[in-house]
Amino acid sequence: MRVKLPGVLMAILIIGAAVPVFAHHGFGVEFDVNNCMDLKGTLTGITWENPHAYFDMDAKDADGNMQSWHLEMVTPNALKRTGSTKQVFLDNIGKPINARVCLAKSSNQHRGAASYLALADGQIRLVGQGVERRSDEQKHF
Amino acid sequence: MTAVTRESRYWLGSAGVVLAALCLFFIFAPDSSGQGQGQDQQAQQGRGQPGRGAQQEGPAKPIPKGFFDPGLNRHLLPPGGPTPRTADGHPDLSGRYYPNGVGRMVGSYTPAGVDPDASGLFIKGNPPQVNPVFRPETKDKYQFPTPYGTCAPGGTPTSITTQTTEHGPIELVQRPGVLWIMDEFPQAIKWIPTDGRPHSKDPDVSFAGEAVGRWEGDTLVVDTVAIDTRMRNISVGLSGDANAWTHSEKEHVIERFSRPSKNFLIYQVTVEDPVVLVKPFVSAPLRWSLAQDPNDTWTEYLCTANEDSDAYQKIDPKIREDYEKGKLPAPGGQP
Repeated sequence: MRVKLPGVLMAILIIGAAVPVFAHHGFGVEFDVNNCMDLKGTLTGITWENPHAYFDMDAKDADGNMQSWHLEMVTPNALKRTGSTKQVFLDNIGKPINARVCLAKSSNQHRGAASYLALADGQIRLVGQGVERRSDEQKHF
Repeated sequence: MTAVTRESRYWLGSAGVVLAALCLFFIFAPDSSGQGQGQDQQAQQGRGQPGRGAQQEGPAKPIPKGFFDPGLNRHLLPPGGPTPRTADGHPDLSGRYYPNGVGRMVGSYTPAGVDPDASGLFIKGNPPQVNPVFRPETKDKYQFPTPYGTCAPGGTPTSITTQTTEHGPIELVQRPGVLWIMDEFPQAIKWIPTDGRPHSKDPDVSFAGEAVGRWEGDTLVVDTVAIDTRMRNISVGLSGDANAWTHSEKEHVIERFSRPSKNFLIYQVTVEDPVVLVKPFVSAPLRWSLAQDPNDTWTEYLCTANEDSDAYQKIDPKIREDYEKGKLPAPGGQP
């Protein structure tokens, strides 16, 4: 006999299955889902550590001035299992990168969390939480 | 300062336990995954990662193309064969399992398109998960979200149930008279004697608790007591840290493990706590699937609060307070 799940409970289960929740903080505390942008620039560094990996990139602001960004990703165990290994980032240092970034809520500029990016090969890589709830078709640069 | 010292001791202790257990694992487990043969050879041809066993780092794989790489399974796995058994006839639970039906890590950051019925722990058609029924007077003392910026240690049963939202693998290593359960997150180890011994008269309190296992037919029943009251029950009931709850010294956890076929592990947990709960919490049967990628490697995932110091520390106090009180629904529908 099949049992139909109540709608609310089903929603909770689906959310639980689809959205990562990190044990120590919530995305909405540190980052602003309503302040996201595309960045285009050059990959300059990778920090491969727990519980978040980070990458650095240089990108020009609206005034044409080069700015250095430090951007959070999800955990190394998740990244490597999507093919985005540390070596992939190392191989792309100094090469073009596009990143979808939600800015940090703190007063600091040039900090944020990346949800997806494209390295020189153009392939979309999921590296963060899908907080903007974009469809796969909407994930492009 | 006391809290910091306690936390440091905890992590140092945990690191030691993990290291010791991994040493045991590498010594005794030539192929704990239950997967195909020849992986040791493959590993030796690869990048020369240390250790033995399945799922060693192999030759570099092609990078998945886009979100829907056909090489990544999106469907519920087939049974995969009969239940593996040990020489004594009991089911062999050994293997690395993911908290879903597709045999790989699935989250919003991994390639999508997974069948809804296979993307999580809950089995289609089974009774739904229910939330524990708390005594009204216990609400404030035992029910509160994990404080912001802290890392809840693992323990029983959280190290397993938290994978509802963390999506990481667990690895079971079974030998005659003993079962080890390792969790990639939060890097916890549980040692379970299955030789029929009873609980100690005065067991030491620990986060994993004192566990003893016994076979009931093809189901391993693990009975755990003496769980540290600082151990937070996460995804025991509704999912996520926002629904975490603590427990009393009288908590008693019964976990049931079965392996109906090679590819699947079924886990069910019952939590009794007459101080906190009106009645025992009885989970739905939760489905885990055997890792399918022979190149899948065990990975460290530790909560170390390495967030960018500026972004992390200069958080609006009001936002932090709202989060800790459960008033801040995170984007994307997170609890």
